[in-house]
Parts: sequence; C-alpha cells; structure tokens
Amino acid sequence: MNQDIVIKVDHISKSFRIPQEQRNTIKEHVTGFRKKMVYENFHALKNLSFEVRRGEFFSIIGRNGSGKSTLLKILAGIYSADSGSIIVNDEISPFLELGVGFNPELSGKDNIYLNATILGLSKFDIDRNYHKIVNFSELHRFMHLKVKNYSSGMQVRLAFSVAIHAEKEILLMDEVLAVGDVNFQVKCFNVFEEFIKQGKTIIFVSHDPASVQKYSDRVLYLESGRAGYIGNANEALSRYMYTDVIKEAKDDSVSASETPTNQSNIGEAQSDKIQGDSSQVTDREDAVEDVEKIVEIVSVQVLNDEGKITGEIIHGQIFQIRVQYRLLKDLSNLIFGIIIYDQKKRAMFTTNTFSEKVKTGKIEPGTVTMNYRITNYLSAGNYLLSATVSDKTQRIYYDWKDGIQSFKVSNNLRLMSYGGADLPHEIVMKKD
Amino acid sequence: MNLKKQLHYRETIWMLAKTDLKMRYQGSWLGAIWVFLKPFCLFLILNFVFSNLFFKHNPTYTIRLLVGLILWFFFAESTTVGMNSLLSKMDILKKIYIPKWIIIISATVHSALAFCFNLVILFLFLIAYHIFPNVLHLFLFLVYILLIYGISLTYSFFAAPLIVRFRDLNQIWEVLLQVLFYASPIIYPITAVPPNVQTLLYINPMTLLIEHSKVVLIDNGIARFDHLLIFIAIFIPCFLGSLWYLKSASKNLIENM
Repeated sequence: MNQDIVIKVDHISKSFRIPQEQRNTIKEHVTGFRKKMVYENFHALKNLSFEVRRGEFFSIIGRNGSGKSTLLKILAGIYSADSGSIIVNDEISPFLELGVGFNPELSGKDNIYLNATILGLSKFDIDRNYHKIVNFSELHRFMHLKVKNYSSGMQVRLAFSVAIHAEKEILLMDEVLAVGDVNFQVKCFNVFEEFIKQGKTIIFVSHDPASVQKYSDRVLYLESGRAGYIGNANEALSRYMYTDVIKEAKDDSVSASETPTNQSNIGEAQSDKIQGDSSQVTDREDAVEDVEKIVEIVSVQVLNDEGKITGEIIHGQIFQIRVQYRLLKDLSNLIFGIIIYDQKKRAMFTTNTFSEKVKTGKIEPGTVTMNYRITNYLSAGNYLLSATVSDKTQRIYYDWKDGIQSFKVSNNLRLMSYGGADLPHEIVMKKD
Repeated sequence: MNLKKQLHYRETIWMLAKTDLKMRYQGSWLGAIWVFLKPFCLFLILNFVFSNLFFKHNPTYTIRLLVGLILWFFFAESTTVGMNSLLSKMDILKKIYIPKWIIIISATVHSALAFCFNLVILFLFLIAYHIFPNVLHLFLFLVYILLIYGISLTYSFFAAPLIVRFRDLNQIWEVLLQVLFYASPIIYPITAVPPNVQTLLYINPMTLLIEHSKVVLIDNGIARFDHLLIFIAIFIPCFLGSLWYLKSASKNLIENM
C-alpha cells in the first residue's frame, strides 16, 4: 500500500437500530417480552470509501445527519463499523471535541493535566509542555481559577491549546472553531498550517464554508451517508450548497403535504437524536451570538424600485437588495458583498464593496444597511441570495449566510428565455 | 511502544481516580475523613447492638465484626462504583476512545484507597487486642483481599455494560447487597448457623473469604487450603469470562448510551 496514505477507509457501512419504544429497565423488557421489538434501521454510512494522504488538510462537509460525526467517531475508534475496513497508518488523536473530560469544578491547571492525560500525554510530557500550553492559551492569570468561571471562549482556548500539544500525527477536529474570537481562529489556522508543514494530517469537519474553502486540500462531501463528492473544495462546496437548498425545499413540501412517509419519520427521529447530542454545540452557538460574533447579517430583503418588499421582479426593471448588518464593535474597512445564485446553485452575479471600490471606512457599533441597486437582466426563473461580510483581507468572514433570501424573475413580454442572463438586445434582419 | 502504552494506561487510571477523589470531597466539611467515618459509625452501632444482645460471651466479637465489615465495605463499594462507572463517564466516552476497563478500574481506586485506610485501623485494633498474626497468615490475608478485588472487578466488568441497557440493575444490586450482607458471616460467626445452612452460605463468595480472613487473622489457625484452591479454580474462568464479555459488549456500547 502507498506509504503516503495514512487513512484508508474501505467500503464501510454503519447503521443504527432505533427502537420505536425505548426499553431501559428490566420491567419494560419483561412486560414487553411478548411484543416483538420493532426497530427502524437508520443507515448512517453506506458503503463509504476514501483515502487521506499524509500532510493533507482534509475537510468533511455535509448536512446534519449526513453521517459526518458517525464517520469521525468510527475513525476515532468510539464506534465500530458494521462492515468494511479502516486502516490507519499513523497515531490518530482519539478525540473529536475540544476539552473532553474538562471538569468545571477544577482549576485550569488541573484541567490541563486531566485533559492532556486523557488525550494520551504522559505526565512527563505534560510537565515539559505545560508552559507552552499556557502561553498559547494566553490564560496565565487564570490558571488557578476554576474552569466554571471561564467564559466559553476561554474554555475553548484552553482546550485547543491542550489538543494541539497532544502530539498526534492525525488530528480529528469536529466543529472546533464554532467558538473563539476571530484572533483566536486565525491563530488556530496558523497552527494548522504549521502542522501541515510538519507533515501532520488534519481531518476537519465544519459548517463554515469560508474556512473549508480557504484551507482544505481536498473535501469529502457526505450526502446521506454516501460520498457525494471527493475532491477540490470549490466543487464540493457548491454541490453541498446546491443540494442543501434543494433538499430544504423538498423537506418543506413534504411537511406541508399530509402524507408523511416512513422515511421522513426516520429522518425526524435521527435529527431529534442529533439535536439531543449536540445540545452543547447549540449552547456554544448561542455564546457566539452573544459574545464572539461581532458582525451579523440581520436581514436580507428584495425590493422593487419604489422601495416596496417584493418576491417577484420584472425583467428589465431596476430592483434593490437591502442587507442589514449588526455590528457589536467598531470596525474598519469591512467588505460587504452579495451573491445571486440560480436554481442550479451557479453563481450568476457577485459584487462587493471591495471590487466596486466603495470605501466603508470606520463603522460604529449599531446597524448598517447596504443597498444594492441593480438593473435586472437575469432571465426568468427563481434565484437565491447570499450575503457576506469579511475583513479587509477577505480572510476572515465574520458572517456568511447562504440562500438567506429568494426571489423570482418573471418576463411578461417574451414567451421564454434560456441562459443565465437576459441581456437587453434587439434583432435585426436584413434581406437582400 | 507497549511499555509506553502501559505507562499511559496507569497514568490515565490514576488521573481519573484523582479527579474523582477531588470531586467527591470537594466542599465537604470533614473531607476525606468520611471514608473512614461511614463504616466506622456502622461498626459502632452493630457492635453495640450485637455484642451486648447476642454475643456477650464472645471476647473477640468486636474485632471479628470489624474484619468482616471492612472487607464487606470494600466489596460493596467497589462493585457499586464499578458497575456505574461507564454510565457516569458517558459524556467522555462519547467523545474519545478510552478502553472501558480503564474507566472501571479507575472508579474502584477510591474504594481501594478507602479500604487501605480502614486496614490501618484494623491493625491498630489487632494490636490493642494483642493479636499478632504471623507472616504466612498475613500473606494469606493479602490473597483474600486480592480475591475480593478480583470478584468486584469481575462483577463490574459484567455489570457496567449491562447497566447501560438495564438501568434498574442499580436497585437490584442494592437489594442483593443487603441479602449478601446477611448471608455473610459478618455480624454472626458462621458456627451460629446449622451445618446444612452453612453449606448454603458458601454459595456467597464473600462467605469463604471473610470466614478465612477471620481464621488467619484472629484464630491464628490455618484455613482450609483445598477450599481456597477450589475457590480460585472457579474464580479464574469467571474473571476471564468477564473480560471477554466486556470486550465484546464494548463494541456497540457507546452508541446505545
């Protein structure tokens, strides 16, 4: 086998049996003895194969319930696959989330030792690395404070510091950057880059398209347990976003119609379970909103030229897109942008303040509204809007909301139109 | 590599146990003294009741009771925490791979430490009673102690994965412990029951170990060696069986938690 392949996943499948009634006590087992246990099989992973090479930044994306976490848990050895094989040729970090085993009642120092031990460091190594860990987390003054008194950002910083000193060759990272301020995120990615240079391998699961696109060498797009795509980031992301939108539209129509199928029941059960599991994560996301998210996209509206909200725009007319942002800090030289996608998730039009040389300058905390006035030369059809805001380097996206608004372009004058744009034109025929 | 792993396992067990200890006595006024206070209070009560009511003519009743109680507490505590260990570490186990036996053993470290503490008290009592067991007897006592720990682990290895599916194993074991307590010669000498009942009592593994401990420590006599061998011959396959069970049950354990 090729030496450079550190993880080889070969046709693995994993399904969970979800009992329709939960039996947790002996009484329930005895009273329910005569009834046959009814299970529903939920196939989390279906015949999945892929390889990860040494020194790669390998991202995994997919919808909730597409099997990302299951896959990572199998890689870490927490779950075992039903069939297929996994070959791991290097020391793999056995953890998925930062701060495993953190005990809020213990001091920061005690938690470093506890967490690092669980992650596989020896006492000797921890003693040796203790100062490096503390330095990286920038929490010198708080080492003797109980972790329960830390803010969520501080906790993540501490946990991440320990994690990167765990000295494993392959790192598994599941949504690790959901918390932490922008500076810290940059610092984390610098560490990742450093790791890659050292020949370490990173497997990264995230919902954040910007960081996936920025850093990944290759991306695995999981589509309900199957490999939807493996390859370059742009392609994977566009497939991810596209199917995402289509699926959501379908889900809406399913829940609207009154014929729920068995399939959707399973889906619901699973998503319930996932929500239960990830309650911590949502807590963190709340924390992001409160503390860390310094710019947020509040609303996106589509208006006609008179300034009335509309969902339909006539071809050839001027319309407006209004994006409202909320800033929690004063920031300078932000770049605001929009993207219009067609139904096939092709970007039809993008613009931002950088490319149009609009000076945004210093902005005080509060709300900011960006107004885009556009002459509508799109062809008839349905379109989706994305809004973004980034720093001046376009390296850090403070917020990026995909498919946040939709609108329809209609054309009363002509019978039909093909192609992405419907440009103003005339046709002249000359007969000799 | 293997040595490194072993060392790491040992460090992990100790680290988890240390955290457990810190958490257990955090904010409690008497702290770790409770380790000794709890069994000692029970000992005082039982001693008061039984030595005055039933066993007035037995001059060594108090020390016999103490031997039995200390061994019993070790067994009862280590099985209970061992059984609950996986369930209580669920949040960690869901996020990281740790061999299950490490979690179970680290949970029992506290009981083992408490037991050592109680042993010191036992030896003080022995000295006060002018009882000085010889080296062979002390060695046999050590073997009994190790066997008690072995039985506790055997039970924990079976029960810790099972309790994930049958949560009421906790209550059942509590009741069963009560039954076993009275079915062990702790508050009464085994000679106090008719011979045919005695045989029945030996089904309880603790009966033999407690009875033999009393014989070697206090009576300075030699306990039946053949009984011990039979005991060990039964114990070893049970222990191996529990290891095998834990290993096979671990495979799909976490996803069912």
